[in-house]
Amino acid sequence: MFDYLANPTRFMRLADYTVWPLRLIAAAGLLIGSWLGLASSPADYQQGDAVRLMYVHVPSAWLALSSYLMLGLASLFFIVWRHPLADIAARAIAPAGAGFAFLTLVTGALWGAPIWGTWWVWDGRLTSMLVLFFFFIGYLALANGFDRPERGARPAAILAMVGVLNLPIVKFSVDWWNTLHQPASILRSGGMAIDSAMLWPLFTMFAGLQAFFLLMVIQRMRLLLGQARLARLADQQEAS
Amino acid sequence: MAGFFAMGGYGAFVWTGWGLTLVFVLLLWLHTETRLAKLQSQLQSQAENGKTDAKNLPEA
Repeated sequence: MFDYLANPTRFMRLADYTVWPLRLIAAAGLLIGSWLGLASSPADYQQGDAVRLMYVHVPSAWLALSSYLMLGLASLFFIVWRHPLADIAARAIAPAGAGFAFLTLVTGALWGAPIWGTWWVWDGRLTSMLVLFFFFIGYLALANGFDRPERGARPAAILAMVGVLNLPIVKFSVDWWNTLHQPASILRSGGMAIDSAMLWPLFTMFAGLQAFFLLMVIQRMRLLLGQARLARLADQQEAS
Repeated sequence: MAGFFAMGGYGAFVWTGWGLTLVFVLLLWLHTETRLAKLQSQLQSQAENGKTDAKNLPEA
């Protein structure tokens, strides 16, 4: 399957079919999710309406983590098989992933300020999430910091792979160090610890943001492939 | 309606968090799609130029 999809033209032809479905799922998920999250879902019995920050904070955090895993895998494929499409995929993932990591930190601070009484603590979860954000920024800086983008591809991919070591720290930090951040409520042993009235807005927002993320990755891959093609065409015309 | 915007006193936090999320989504979406559309029209005109150039070139 990887061999089949590793051909950029073939991959992009398949990707074309996903663009409109993803646009629709993203728009519908975000609209319905916003209505569910902001209007129709109940306030929390302890936190009141501040709990509504969960519906942007938690999906952002899931996407920051899963997109970093994708960035690490794409970088591994690029280092091992040296396939340029893997580098293009990684470059397309990083901007959206960095944005979600940033949103996780900011919405977390906005949630923490009224509920914990502090914007920030240097506990395991918050600190490892900040480190994740810095890995995204470092990747973007290395990948785009050279005159010829292909020169930055290898160092950026190696940095991305090192950052994968941080992912289990983010995930299990809440179990290893028991501080302000609560442990997992959804992906935990013993079943979910959340009422369905709050689970639906959460999953709808997640579906909308996930579709948006995949759409951005596909469109940015097309953008990067098109830019490379334009540069090749310009070279050819100069040469002729 | 005023109660909806007040969010039980947490309005500033809730609306800032949701607002930033929305701004990020809209900006990245718009930025990506407009750049892609521009690039595709550039590629289109390049392809057309290439064709006319190729006609004027002597046979290799």
